[in-house]
Amino acid sequence: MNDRQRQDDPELQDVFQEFLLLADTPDAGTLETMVARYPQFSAQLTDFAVEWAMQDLLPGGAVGDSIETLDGFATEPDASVDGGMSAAVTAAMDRLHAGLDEVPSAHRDPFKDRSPEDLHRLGRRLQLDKTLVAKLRDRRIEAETVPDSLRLGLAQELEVPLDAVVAHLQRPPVLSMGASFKAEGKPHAIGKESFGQAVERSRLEPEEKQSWLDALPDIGPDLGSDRD
Amino acid sequence: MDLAPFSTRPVEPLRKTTADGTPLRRPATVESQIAELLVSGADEVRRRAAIGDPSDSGYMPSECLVYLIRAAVREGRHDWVDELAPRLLGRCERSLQRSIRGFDTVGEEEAREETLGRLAVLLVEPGNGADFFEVRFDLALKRLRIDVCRQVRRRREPLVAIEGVDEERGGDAGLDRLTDEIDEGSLPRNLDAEERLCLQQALSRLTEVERRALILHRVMGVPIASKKPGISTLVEILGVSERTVRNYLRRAESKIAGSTEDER
Repeated sequence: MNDRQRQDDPELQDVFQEFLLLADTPDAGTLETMVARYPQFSAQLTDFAVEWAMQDLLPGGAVGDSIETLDGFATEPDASVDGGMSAAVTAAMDRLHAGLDEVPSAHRDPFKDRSPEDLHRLGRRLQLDKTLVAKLRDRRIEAETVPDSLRLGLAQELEVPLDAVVAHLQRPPVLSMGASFKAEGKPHAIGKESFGQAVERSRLEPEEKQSWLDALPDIGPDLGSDRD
Repeated sequence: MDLAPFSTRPVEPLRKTTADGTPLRRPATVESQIAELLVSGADEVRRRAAIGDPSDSGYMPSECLVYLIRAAVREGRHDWVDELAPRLLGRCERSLQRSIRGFDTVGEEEAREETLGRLAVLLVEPGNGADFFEVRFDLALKRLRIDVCRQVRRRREPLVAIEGVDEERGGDAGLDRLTDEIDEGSLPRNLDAEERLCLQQALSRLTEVERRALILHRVMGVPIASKKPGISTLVEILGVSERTVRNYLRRAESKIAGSTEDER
């Protein structure tokens, strides 16, 4: 992979950011430290340091301003919207819109297209049994009763933003496939239960149940577990 | 346009971690302002986003703007994205107009557009690539700017001369001062406006390798060679002999002093 191809390499960008955090201006010692830490990026780091030094030294439109002031923005009225967008901002917005079309929003189901194996693995990692995973997937647990640690865990395991998990849990419950086939009468919406109640009814080991019950958010007795 | 308040509560933690595994955290002031914005009405968010004067008490820090834009992307609120993103990009554009240096007009525009474009892409990417923009926006933008400039400079003319800044304009005094400094073994960072113009003029006379050698050695203090293992040197970085490095430096200094004599 050449330098052009890896221009947006997140790892390289993190390395550059670390470099900027280590020193106000580039110097031999800091460059050496960074190259020792990331020898695979030695060429890019040297290139970056030379450009950084040049940007610090050369004249700009407002020569004499400190770089902090330059990047910290000047005290000018904002004409970006009221005065119309410039060609550069318009072009950037075009790129942003193109990216938006590809981004999964929080309105998409984070459990969508997960195989039973995926869900089994998720349950094992988060210490949830099959029933609890299914209830979370089907939004049959009240969102506000789900511990923050579990929300975060779900976001990490499902590789979606936390917002997406919260938005999913807040939506109305879905009727499970099994219920729709077994029901004798017309299908009706299933109510939600609290996370505490779901844990109590699960097949988790007693100590696993207790661990979850201890993590319940403090939201009042009516929304907690049956034990409250 | 109907701009209902964001539904995102509480403030979502950042997902990126530092090199030692510590989760990245926003400054407390940023965190509290985001929390405040999330429960305020649409009109208030819009009013604050429109304030362009950082000294105004209602000015919305760029870190908060980034959070709101990314939250709007996650929630599929494209109306909010269209409302807020131009504000942020407009701020950045004005900053970049002053901070991108050493290009001609076309190169400067290319670097500015590319920096803004890359920022725009980062804002909508679902990963954590823009997390640092919510922690230290100024530093994150600086990183993006320098990275884009180094790439644009590689594609284009390395450094342009400034028309009208030379001996005829009386720039000799500034150039003399620079030459004196270089003779003493370093280049100062606190240059005045005239010295900066002269420096660009002087550096534009150098070849790419001469300029790299001069900046690494005279500005950053990288040694030419070293017998100590593990020390970054010009010999190592440029991949040439010590004698060649010294030739590069001698030629660079000679050109800056106004002599075009080739010492080979």
